[in-house]
Amino acid sequence: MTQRNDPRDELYRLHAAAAFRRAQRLLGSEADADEVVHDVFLALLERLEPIQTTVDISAYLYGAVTHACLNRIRNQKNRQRLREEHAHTLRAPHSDGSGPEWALTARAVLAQLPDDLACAAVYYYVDELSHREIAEVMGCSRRHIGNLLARLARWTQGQEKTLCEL
Amino acid sequence: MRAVSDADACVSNLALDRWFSGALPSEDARALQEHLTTCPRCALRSDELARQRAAFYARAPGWDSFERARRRDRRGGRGALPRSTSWAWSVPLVAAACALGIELGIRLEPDQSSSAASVRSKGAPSIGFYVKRGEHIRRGSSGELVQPGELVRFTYSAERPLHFALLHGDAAGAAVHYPKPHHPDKLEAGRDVPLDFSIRLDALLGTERVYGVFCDAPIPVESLRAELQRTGHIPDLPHCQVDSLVLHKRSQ
Repeated sequence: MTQRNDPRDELYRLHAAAAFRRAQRLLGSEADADEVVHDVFLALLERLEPIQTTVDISAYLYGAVTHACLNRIRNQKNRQRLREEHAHTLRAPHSDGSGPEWALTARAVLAQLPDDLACAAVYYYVDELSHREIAEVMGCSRRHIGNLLARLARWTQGQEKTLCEL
Repeated sequence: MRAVSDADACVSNLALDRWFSGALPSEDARALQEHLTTCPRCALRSDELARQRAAFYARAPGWDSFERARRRDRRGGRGALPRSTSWAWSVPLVAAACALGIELGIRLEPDQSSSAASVRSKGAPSIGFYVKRGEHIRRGSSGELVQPGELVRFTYSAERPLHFALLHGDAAGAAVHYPKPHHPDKLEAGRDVPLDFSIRLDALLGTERVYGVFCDAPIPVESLRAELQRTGHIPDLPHCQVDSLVLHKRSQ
């Protein structure tokens, strides 16, 4: 008799480390990343069958982790903390954008971006995916990704003064 | 779905994640593996991802153990303080937002490898560098594998204005890259400030050591270069601090 591996364990062993790595980079905290991975995997395991048959799990998890992290970055409590930490680091000496304070600033930028632009920014700047890969993860055309990144560039130009004068 | 579009293209973390999980079609997996044998940068990144995977699964090897740990954390509060993580990913995004440019503000590779800077004493002046290959720019760290033809741009960090010299020594001898006649006497204070020039790596393979010399007084640059060429070392200088980096130049 062949013993089948627990599919939950198999999914976890194949994909959890990558999900954790990305969540940790986006959130800057191991504990927060653990929570995101746990929540994302619980949601994934609930819909295991449809996911297994229809979706590229790596791409699905890139999307799910990104959304979960952006939600955390955006929630009211975190935004308040980011604002306070951001203001603190920018007042600190040698705060010239070359240290961890930039990560805070980047999270503050992500918190302000509309959802589709924030996702595109994460995939492009953080994950360094190609337009084709971003299109695969976001489930849209490469042309749409080009448009999103152009909008992102316009948005950042529009915010340039605000951010740099903070 | 093709995760590796052509043999020369560097592979993304998504492609590596698909490969690790066995989701890459065999043709793409072969192309990725071939690329890793010829691209030291991607090979290093692949190794780093593998190391991170091993660390993660050493902490929580299976779903059950991970879930048990999460339940314990939720019952008992957060437990250990969050560890800070690599921040380098944020540079291009903030650079885009603030239009800081400095020619580096394109797509910087997150540097998760151990960095020489991480073991320097706090507040000590230091040097760093970026490497540009084609349109891709990555942040380098001591011990970096580089290739002939790549452009290297050095940076410095100093908490106060200091005299500065940048020299390198390799099998061909020693050379001074900074200061040149048009350079100011002292550097301004700053962190990761790029110097105003790039160096294209020549075809001579081997190990190069680059020295950043920071002094309160003017630096006898030519005698330093001669000493470096003669002995292979920078001599002790009063009221000076020296930081160094190693580059391993290999062909593809």
